[in-house]
Amino acid sequence: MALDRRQFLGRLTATLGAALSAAIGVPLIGAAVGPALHRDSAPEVALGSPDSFVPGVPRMVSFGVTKEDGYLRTTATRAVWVYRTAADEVIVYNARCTHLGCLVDYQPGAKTFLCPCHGGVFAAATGQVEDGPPPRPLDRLEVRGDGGQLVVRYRDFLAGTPDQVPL
Amino acid sequence: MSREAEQTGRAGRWIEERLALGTVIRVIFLRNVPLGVGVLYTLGFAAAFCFILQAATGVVLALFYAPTPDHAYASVAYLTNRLPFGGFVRGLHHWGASAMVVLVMLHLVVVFSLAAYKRPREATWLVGVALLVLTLGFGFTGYLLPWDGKAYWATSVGTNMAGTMPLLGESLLRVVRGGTELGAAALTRFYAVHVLVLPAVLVGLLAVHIALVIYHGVSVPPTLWGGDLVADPEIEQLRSPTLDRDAERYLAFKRRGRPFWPDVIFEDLVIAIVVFLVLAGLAVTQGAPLEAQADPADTAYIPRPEWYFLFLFQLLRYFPGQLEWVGIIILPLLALGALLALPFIDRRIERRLRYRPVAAAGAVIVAGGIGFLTTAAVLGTPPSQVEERGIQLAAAQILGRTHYRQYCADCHGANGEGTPTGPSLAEAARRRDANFIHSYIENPGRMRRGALMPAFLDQLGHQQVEEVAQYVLTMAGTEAR
Repeated sequence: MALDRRQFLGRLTATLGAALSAAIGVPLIGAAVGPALHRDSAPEVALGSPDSFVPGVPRMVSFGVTKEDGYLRTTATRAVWVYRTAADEVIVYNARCTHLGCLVDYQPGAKTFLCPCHGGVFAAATGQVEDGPPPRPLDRLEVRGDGGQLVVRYRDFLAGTPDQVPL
Repeated sequence: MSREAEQTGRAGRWIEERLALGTVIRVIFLRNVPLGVGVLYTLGFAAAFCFILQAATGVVLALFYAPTPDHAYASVAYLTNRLPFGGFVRGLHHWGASAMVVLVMLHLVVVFSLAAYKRPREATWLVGVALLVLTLGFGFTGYLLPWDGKAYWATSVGTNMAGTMPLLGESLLRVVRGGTELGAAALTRFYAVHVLVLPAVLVGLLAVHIALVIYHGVSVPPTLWGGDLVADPEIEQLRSPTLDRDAERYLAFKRRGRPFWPDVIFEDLVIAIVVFLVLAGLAVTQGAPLEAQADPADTAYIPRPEWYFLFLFQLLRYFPGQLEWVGIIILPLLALGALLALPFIDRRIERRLRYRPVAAAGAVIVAGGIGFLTTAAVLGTPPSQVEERGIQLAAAQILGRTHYRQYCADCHGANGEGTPTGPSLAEAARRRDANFIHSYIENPGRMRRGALMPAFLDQLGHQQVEEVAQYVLTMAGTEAR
């Protein structure tokens, strides 16, 4: 298709304008979103001796994890529920509800975890959803014994998705 | 008409009826600029482009900046050194500030020399002068924010200047700083003004400015308007010294001009690209300077404002003591008043510069004065931090270093190592104190019989002799040659 001078100049101007916008936009957007895409590290946290947990009664343990927070390194408080089964197996749940991230609380009568925000209910022994909106079971964390200490590898996960997405 | 085209037509009409986009596009883009409009007319757009760039980079900086004395410096260091593209973005913002001042000034100079402020464009000029003041306001409020040495000291001096005003001075200082201390309250205040108040006001006034430019159309270059060069029957026919036919004549120029889209926008865009490439080049090669964190007790720091305020800084040196507020407040206000009054004082029809000798001479004097003051300030500014022979020099020593290089280094060597004409100063620096060296420089003959060195008191004066003496003390470690 033949272009007259004015059409050509118009297209050239539009192209150059788009190129300039991109040259400005890419570094700006890169700077704006770059650090946000950085994946958190998964620190190992000591939870104490397995014997300090009563079999069948979950106990919450909270601790500080170091996070890169913009120009600061801050210590953010995180919590896990530690559940020692009668068979001496230790299960560690991330204490955040898988629905939208509120902290779940243990209900001794029902042996469930209840989320105070939207009423999600999880079985204490398995973490499975018993009621309410949570899309997946409570997030289980990797735990190992190390010289008489329980050591958990702490992670946060994306809330609200059926699949577990580490942050 | 096909069904699709009919539907687009209907959708187009529906949108047009509600948003009038077609009208907006027609008014803004599908207009002609008059005959003779060329590259000088792109400066306004270039300045506006700089503002857009400042706004965009500023938003990104604000995402990572913390306006508190405890965190400002750390957050700027983080975004400069560790954020991906952060140094580049801050570099663009830093150099963009200077570019905006330069382009606004050049735009003003061009508009002045083309006499484009004359009827009917007086209001456009007034708003433009306000935009210049806002641009300088951005500079002044912006460079406190990194909270480094320059930030702290230049703003400390700048706000104290407000404090010298008679009667209102103290209140003004307190209001500007949010108290007496240049600290947390001052920093949030400067930040809020820099990122909230000034942008809002500038956007509003810029919109008015551009609307007025579109409404009146850009001026015809004076040489054409004056009628020397146009061989066009229609325009010739409308040639008349009376103002009544100006509008009609302007339209004739406009009919013969070029369309704004795409011809003029293309030129504007090319200038914007050039500006961006220059700024990107500076951002990549020079980066954004960040000195050591502000230290209110650092006597080694020599405060200087950004270059575009240096003329004002230099001016103060000529207004000693009681009259300082004249230089600080009265002269700038007079200058501002003169700019604002210009279109109402200079109301002659004549727009060609060579027939405006008073205006031309005035402009040359003002530009020459600002140029002179800026140059004098630059030449008279020692570097703000000097480390020499492993010693971090104090402010007096840095000043002394400048005089030393001018008066002493020829005979004693650049590091006091001595030359065939003059002895090494290392021993004097080790064995003598500042008092002795001071007295010796003032009048060597009084301190040592038969000394060959000339007396320097008359040339230097007590203050400068003392600075040289302080500087000579730093030469104790120099090896004699």
